[in-house]
Amino acid sequence: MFKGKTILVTGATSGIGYKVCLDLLDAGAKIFAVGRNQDQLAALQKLQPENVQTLAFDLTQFTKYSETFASVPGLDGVVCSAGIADSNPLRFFSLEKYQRTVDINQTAPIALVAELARNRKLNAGASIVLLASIMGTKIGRNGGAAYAGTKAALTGFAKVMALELANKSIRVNCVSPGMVNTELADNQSEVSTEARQVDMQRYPLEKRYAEAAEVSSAIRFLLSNQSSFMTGENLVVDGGYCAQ
Amino acid sequence: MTIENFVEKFAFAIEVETVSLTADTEFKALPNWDSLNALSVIAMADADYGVALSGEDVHSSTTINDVWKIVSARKQ
Repeated sequence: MFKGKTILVTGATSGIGYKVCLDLLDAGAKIFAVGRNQDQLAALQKLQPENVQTLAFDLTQFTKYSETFASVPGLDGVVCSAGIADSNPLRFFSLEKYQRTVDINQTAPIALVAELARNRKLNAGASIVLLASIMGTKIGRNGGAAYAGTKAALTGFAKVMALELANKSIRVNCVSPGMVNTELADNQSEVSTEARQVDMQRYPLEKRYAEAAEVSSAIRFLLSNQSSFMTGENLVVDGGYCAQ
Repeated sequence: MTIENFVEKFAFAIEVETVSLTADTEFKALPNWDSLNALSVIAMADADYGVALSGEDVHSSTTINDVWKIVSARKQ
């Protein structure tokens, strides 16, 4: 389905981004993997050296975007998956934590897409997928104001980017999962195992969190021609959580 | 860095009067205890002591002194 296509994936070394890379490679794509973990990037490249280019880069280094992404080939797809989820309750609000979340989750995706669009790195017919969340647009959660705000912002970005890039037949959409079994969820150490088990019971479909593969498949759908008339949309993948 | 100070900060975190708590208070039995309070205690340990507490740490503790033992041990 993706033979001959080149797709850039951020957050490529862990969680959903990593799974997207594996699935795209299986589907015949070439990938341009962006992440911070050099060992993981090297391991990814070893899987299919001829089909994987890697870039070890901290996406908050905004002043280096121009030189860093100059070598990117023409792209048929972009997946912005890099993100963090620091707990930051109002009573102990940390501006530093907040700003870091905004930089990674919100500013990096728009800065990257703008950089690629400005330098004509996005091929006609390309598809951009921003990894949002049900947090922000659909629900809130204690301590998650920054995360919720940044993820809601992405759904707004998708609408505007969709309009600005439509004349080049470039589509922009969001995927919004609920909780997913990834390192990001595992690293939320402020949530006890018991609290997580209770939370899973709130998901109507099978009382569990999503697997990364289930989010990756929605992302692949939006990257593919099967969604050729969808743009500016937000595809929710939450096991029915928001239907309640 | 004393248990008295910690109880004071704990009270601020969970928004109750300091006088209503002691080191031996079983905090999860408090009527206002909820998941936001757990997050606040974790954030307080980070902000005021530079200590990373986990949800498991709070969940496995019974009294405020139990949490203090973890914080003071990690602070050293």
